[in-house]
Amino acid sequence: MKTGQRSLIGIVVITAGLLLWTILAGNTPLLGLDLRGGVEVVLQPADDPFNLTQADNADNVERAAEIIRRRVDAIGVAEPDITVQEMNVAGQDVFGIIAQMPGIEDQQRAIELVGQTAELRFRPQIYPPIPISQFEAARALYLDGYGDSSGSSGTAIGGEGTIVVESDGATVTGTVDDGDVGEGDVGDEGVDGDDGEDESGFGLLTPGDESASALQPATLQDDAVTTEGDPATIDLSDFVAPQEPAAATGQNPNSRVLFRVAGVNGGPGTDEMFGGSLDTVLTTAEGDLEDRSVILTDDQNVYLLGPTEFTGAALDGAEAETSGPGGWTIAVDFKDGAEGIDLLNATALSCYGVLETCPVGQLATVIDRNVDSSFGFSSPVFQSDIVQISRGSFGFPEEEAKDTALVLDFGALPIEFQDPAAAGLVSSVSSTLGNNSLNAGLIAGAIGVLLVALYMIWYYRLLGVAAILSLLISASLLYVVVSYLSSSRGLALTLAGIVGLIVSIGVSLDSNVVYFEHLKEQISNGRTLRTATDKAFPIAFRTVFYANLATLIGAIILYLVTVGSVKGFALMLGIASVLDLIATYFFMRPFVHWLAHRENAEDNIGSFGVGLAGRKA
Amino acid sequence: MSDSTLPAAREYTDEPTGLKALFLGLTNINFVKLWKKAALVSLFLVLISLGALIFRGLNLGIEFEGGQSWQVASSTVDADGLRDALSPIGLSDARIQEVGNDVFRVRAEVEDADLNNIDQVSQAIAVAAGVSVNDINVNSIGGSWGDEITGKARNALIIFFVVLFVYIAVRLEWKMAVGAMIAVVHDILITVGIYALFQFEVTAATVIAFLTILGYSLYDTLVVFDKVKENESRISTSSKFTYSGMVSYSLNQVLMRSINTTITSVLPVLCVLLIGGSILGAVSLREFAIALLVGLLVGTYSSLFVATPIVAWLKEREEANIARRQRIEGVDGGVDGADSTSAIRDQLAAADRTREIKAQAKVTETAGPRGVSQQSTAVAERPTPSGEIPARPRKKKSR
Repeated sequence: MKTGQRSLIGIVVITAGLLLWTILAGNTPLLGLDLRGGVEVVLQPADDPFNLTQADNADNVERAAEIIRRRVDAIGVAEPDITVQEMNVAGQDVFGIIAQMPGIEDQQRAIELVGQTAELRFRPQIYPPIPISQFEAARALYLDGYGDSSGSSGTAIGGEGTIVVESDGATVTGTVDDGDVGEGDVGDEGVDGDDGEDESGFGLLTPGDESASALQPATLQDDAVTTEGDPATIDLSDFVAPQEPAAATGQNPNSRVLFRVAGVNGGPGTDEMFGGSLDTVLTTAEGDLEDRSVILTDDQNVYLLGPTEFTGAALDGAEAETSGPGGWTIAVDFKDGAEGIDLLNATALSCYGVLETCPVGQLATVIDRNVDSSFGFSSPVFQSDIVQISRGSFGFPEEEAKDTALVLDFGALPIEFQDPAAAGLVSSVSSTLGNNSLNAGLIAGAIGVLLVALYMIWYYRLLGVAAILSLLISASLLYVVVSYLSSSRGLALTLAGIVGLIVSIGVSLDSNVVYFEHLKEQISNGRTLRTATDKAFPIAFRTVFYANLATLIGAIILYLVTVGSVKGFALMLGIASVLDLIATYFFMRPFVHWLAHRENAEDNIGSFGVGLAGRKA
Repeated sequence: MSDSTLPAAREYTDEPTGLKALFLGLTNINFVKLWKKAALVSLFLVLISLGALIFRGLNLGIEFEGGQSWQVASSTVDADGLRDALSPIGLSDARIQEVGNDVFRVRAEVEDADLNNIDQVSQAIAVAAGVSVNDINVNSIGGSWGDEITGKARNALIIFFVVLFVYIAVRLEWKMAVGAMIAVVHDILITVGIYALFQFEVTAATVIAFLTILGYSLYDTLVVFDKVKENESRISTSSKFTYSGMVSYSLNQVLMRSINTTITSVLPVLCVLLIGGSILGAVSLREFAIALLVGLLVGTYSSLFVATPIVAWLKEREEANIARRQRIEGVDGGVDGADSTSAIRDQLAAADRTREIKAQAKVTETAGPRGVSQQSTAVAERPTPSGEIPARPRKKKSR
């Protein structure tokens, strides 16, 4: 009884709390393309396809559409509409893609997802990544210091370490104390490397990391001779700022920022070297050649990367997998032999051994001159074609694992499209159904649910009221979950989805009906109300549990195997069946128990709607 | 619990009849007899569905087959205006979107997509938008559903059936798994068959409706099976009842639950169909709701009239059950089918009491034994069945 009351209060408080949280967090269900519209990205083939025959163009575009569908699917269950459409580009009839996604909040992401066409390259890190904030701070310090040869003047960066700014022999040193952030506008992210959220690279060895500190930084020489086939030698023309107007800043074009971050616990520090502002330092599109070192960024860190070890062509596929509570890994499937796993093993040997060609022991994946991720190696040789990528003992956050697997899986589209943003091919789109459809669905659904409520109360009296309250609990929880998934995973409710939810409400009443009918059976067998409620629930719940378990198993299979709107449906089905069980067990059981154990419950058994017929008192 | 609050023993004054019997789960419906008629009905529906699927096929929507796209720039019309213009030429379900500002795109699948029909749509759009037909961009579009979605959904369904077959086989038994799977296929076939028969457009939403039915049908069947299984374990081998009789009795017990669940599931769909689809004129809702409505009804029906008879038929072939049937049919007063649910009920109640008394005997301190003894009295005093459903003539075989 005490447990019952606790469970009753618990579920009501939890539900109310979650509802409150949903409202405060501003989570609301996202309506689908058919109801609310969204954003549209038109992909027109770039020049290349004009050389193709019409059939080739159509095939490639159809394949590209499939890849884009998978990309969009993999980030959530947003039910996009991706259609291949004939279009007239520069007087030619070609096939293109119109990709529509519900919601308009994240236009940029939509463009990135559908427009990405680049080749995937794997390049070793030559230096640990430098957070852009540190780069800018060091550069400011350098410029400052260059003008004031007496020494450092005050721009400090967060974290512990020493910044060494070197310019043609003149050295300016600034020391940063632990945690004592000078200007405040430069965050201390990155130095400690403890804030995983900020780093899109993963398995990342940051400068503060023990293993990174143990590394011997390769020596950079200004006058190093670039030797063909010797990737350890860096062509410093990549580092200096060729376009930097030396006269304007007064810098020597060959000057550079040397950046030393102290190691943890007195370990050796690491040096990084840059010159000029970030934009001028980064490798240009023309300079991004497979066999050259490059300086690239992922918008958070600056990376110095060696020549390409291999490309996405070595991979057969990649998939994100759960590795335990909260943790995800990525399983990468390499091709056999010289075109696949051998290439990885060659890289693994140098990265695992932290050899010259891979002095940081980290391999970065690069798409379209953007560093997507980085990882280290746990073994110098991989026997199996399937290689697991994981991070630490907890793995990746789900989204990161999936996004990365996605990129590894479909590094490139089979056809090149014009940049939709540049070509002005991104626009908002309105809903496909009129407003009346949504309203009609909602009004009709509301009337339907109301009728159900009336029927339940008419038939089961007090128990009917209990059923409606239980329904209220599970519907509230459903709203919380749907709102949360809408906000976090882009779950979008289509009209069909809403009607499906209304149906699931009707169906979820079944667990109550099963219980009440068992109750009735027990009472007609001559039991008292109290013993009947306690007897009937375990039997009824077992029935409902195993039936819902079957539904849940089916939903999980559909969710795991399918894509698109079927996946979204499976998710809702699974959630609805779990919530049904929760409401039945944690609310219905103690509530009916309480109803039956009130003072005069036994005398008013008629009000329970389960035992009034064929009886005499 | 104090002694004084103990309620007086309740008694049935007479055997309940009609709705009252239904309410109490004490109906005397002979399901074994009904199964034979139901088998004919099911066979008929399945054949019609198969025929419609083979000879008429499904009317696949634009998501699957693609269609045409019309794009027009106009500041004098809105989406509703275009929808009104397209409804008279049979395109009330066209997908009309405003793209950016004042550009409208209409996507529709034109029946017999020849140039005349496409031109007709262009004309209607041109008139509504107040532009020349030449200003409308007409292009063909592919399906947005994609082969991959279909392929993966098919794989998923195969895995779905295999895994759930194993699940039911482990949880209940393989004969019930067979019954459940056949019932699910029966339901889906009939629901899809209606789409083929009436040539409703199959959209992405329709597929979702089919899957909803799949889930519901399975769930409903399992709830019914659970009751059968429960009674099966309560009826000993020396029982006076054949397996079919026991199943029929179980169905009488769950009848009210089936009816109530159907009502609560169907009411919202019915509202969506009648109010949303017809009165409020949301065409896209109507066909979707029809699929759901039919599926829900068939789903409940199949649990009682397809899944369970298959199980009964399979179980009656087991040696123990054959022996039981032979013994019962040879003994006067044996019960076949569901001639006397109240007799079975009394037997089951007695079995339960015996079990309970044994259990209570071990824990004499609790308040239980008194209640139990009173219940025994109550049941013992219950009159014999009034025989509102006439006993049917004895047959040699009821299979």
